[in-house]
Amino acid sequence: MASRRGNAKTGEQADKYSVLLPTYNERENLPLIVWLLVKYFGESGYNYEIIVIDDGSPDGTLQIAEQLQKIYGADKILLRPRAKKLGLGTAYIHGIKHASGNFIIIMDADLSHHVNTLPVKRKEGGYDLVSGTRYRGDGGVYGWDLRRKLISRGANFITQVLLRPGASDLTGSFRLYKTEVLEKLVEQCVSKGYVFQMEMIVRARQLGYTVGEVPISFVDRVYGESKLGGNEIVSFLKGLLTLFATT
Amino acid sequence: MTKLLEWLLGVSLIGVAWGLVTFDLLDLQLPPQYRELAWPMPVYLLVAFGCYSLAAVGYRVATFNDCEDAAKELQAQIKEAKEDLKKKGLKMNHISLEVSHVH
Repeated sequence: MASRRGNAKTGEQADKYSVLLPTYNERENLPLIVWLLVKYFGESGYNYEIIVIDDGSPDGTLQIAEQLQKIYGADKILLRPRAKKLGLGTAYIHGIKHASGNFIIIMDADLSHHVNTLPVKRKEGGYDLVSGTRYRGDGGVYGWDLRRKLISRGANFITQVLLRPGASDLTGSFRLYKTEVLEKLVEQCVSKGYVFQMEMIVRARQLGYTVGEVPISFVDRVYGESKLGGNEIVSFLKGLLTLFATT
Repeated sequence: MTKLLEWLLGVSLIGVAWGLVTFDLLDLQLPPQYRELAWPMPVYLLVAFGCYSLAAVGYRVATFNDCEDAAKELQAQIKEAKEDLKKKGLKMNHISLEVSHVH
């Protein structure tokens, strides 16, 4: 598999970034995400591709993706759908198989950021992994009330004490990985959901990979999507304790 | 070694050291001041950690950045994207994206 990307390693100009977008019912967000990615990558001149991994969304996300493919070209927008909702880890594995870039960017479909900050930071430090953080530098959030901020910072504090992960924001999912690093990590990680994202960074540090951080602004785009209820908190703690005991 | 094991090891080591000094298990005949100081140490440390935690979380919540500019920029970009995509021929029933407001 390394030979397929052999050419890409010979020079900085040959760097290519594959953006993996696992989607489920993102009919409205997907065009905006793609538009922003095209805009920022276009401005920065980086070579990129966007791989949309739709898990059989009933709302027609795939049809929107097909239209976007017609607009921007099938070399830039790749569609690799799956029949049903199969989970994030397998979506990444699936995406990696079809990615031709030597770097992989992953992002939630309902976030939007200046995507070019990731490659820039990576180049600066030659990192194996670059993670977006809301908690450092001028990273931050928009529209969060006190309760949500308290829970977020409290949970992060507990995470830092228990796991000492060497990264300030573990639950974010705006990251850039070297392709071979992502492959290795996805093999090793067993958790589900956002605990999977946390486990990725913890394992990365254990395996000796270098982790860089860039501040990001987290702006909730979808009205009223605040998922910090009691159940979320309990499942977060469960996931955290599992990582504590197993990594 | 998992983090859990690291913690258990660390706590055990500290516990043994504390027990040795407080209860004079090795019959070291340490001066009484040592024992008086060591005896409440675990509680002191827990309280100190508790205070530190509250202070740290409080500080971090207070300094949690609110990205007004990013939100405004995003609003503008959503508009721009809608128009641009429409021009390029994207057909949707509606794109009802909005930046969520302060709850």
